[in-house]
Amino acid sequence: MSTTEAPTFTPPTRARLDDSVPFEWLRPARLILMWTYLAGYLWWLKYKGLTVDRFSVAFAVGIFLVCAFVGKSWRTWGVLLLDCLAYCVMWLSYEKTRGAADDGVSIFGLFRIKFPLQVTAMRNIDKFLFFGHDPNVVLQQHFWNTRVVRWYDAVAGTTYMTHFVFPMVVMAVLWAISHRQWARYMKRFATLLGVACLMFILLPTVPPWMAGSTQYHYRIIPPLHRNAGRGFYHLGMDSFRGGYQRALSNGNGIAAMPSLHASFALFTPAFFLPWIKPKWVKALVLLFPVIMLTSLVYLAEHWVIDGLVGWALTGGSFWFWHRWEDRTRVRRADRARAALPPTAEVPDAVELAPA
Amino acid sequence: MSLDPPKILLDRSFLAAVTDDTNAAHEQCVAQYRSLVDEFEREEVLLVAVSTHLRDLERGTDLEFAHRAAYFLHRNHRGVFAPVEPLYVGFQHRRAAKGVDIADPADALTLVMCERHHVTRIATVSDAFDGYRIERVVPAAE
Repeated sequence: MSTTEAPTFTPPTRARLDDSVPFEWLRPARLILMWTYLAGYLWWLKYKGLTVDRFSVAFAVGIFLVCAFVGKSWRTWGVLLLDCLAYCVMWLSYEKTRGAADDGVSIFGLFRIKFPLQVTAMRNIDKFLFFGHDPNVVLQQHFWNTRVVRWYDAVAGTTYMTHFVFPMVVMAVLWAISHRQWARYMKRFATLLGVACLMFILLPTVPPWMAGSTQYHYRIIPPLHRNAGRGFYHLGMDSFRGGYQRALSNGNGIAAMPSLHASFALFTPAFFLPWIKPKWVKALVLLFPVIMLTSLVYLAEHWVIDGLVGWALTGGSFWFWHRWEDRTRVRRADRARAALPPTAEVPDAVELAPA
Repeated sequence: MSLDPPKILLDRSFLAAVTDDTNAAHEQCVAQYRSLVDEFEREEVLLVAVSTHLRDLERGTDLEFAHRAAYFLHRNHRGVFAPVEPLYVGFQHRRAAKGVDIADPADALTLVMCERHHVTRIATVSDAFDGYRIERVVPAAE
């Protein structure tokens, strides 16, 4: 930037923008509503428990958005409505497809395609990765105590439960603060869900707890304890139990591959990684998906390979959309350049009198 | 902390100077716009403009309601201002603009949009914003 040739401009008084533009009275109202919502949410969490079913979470997000969008323009509300519609379609398709994986896919009601259930394949891959050991069995044998809930049970249980809330909270906050970032987040998220649903149909997989359970005929590993929320309930989140059991009963038991718990746990940290500068914070943040996968294996919810494939899907979704956005940006820049008349030289930008 | 790159608002006078080759500041503005487009391509800045000002330049001022509505709902990223995102003007912005003490209503609207969308830099050839604390990016003098 040129410093010698730059014209200088120093007006005697420069008015602040927010002093010159009439005050937006609904801005503080928005903030108050959002803080009230946060307080209400925490109260609910403490006394009523954590909501996990899609409808309740969507409802909670909806209330937050109403608080965050008070006083915004009609167009912004219209865009929000379309976004909400897209959000609902995404979750409904996910639930519908995920459920369909159980019974196969119906082709126009004429016949049904059901893909073979994977019982031993994932277990064999895990055994190969861990030199002949079953990580689920080893972890439960060493650390699970039926009578005592230890600190690591609380960590594992809480980490497991964040899956039902964390990505949705991030979505809602992004919605409120930057629609551009929300769109970036959702494109990646929807892609991940779409591919995962396809895999649930093509590759129905028996999870470790089912593979070892005496209630099923597979019994390829010793019986494992399945009580993912145990550590979380121990922290006093008792009222959550009913909702979680209900959510479990609605879910698809053989949708183990890929692990969306592992995918989501990597998803949010990966999204925010570019804004995190200190390397040690980056490393700390990336520890979360590792804790999640360890918890999933310890709690017998997933095989290790489910989690690794979940991470790979997250990486793939980020890679795809990153490339797509780069290309879109370059294309738009090229269009602009093509429409501009040629110039001899590009001068430096001269910034006058910084605020 | 903002998650988005800093926004630079292309003011009405700047947009006009880029498109009008008879404008005295045309060449400087084109050169300046090129460098801004390069920054946009590197994702260092976001280029924005007030939707009505952009629409007037891209589609003309005497648009029918249906065309105005179509533009309001969706704008294609084509032509010279393909990298530019419109900041859509609502009733509340027009209402607020009436309360701004500046001669030209269009400039008042620009100021309102800058304030509402946290824009701190503006590309302009007009001196209407000199009295405000907004960082001004102007074409270098020849």
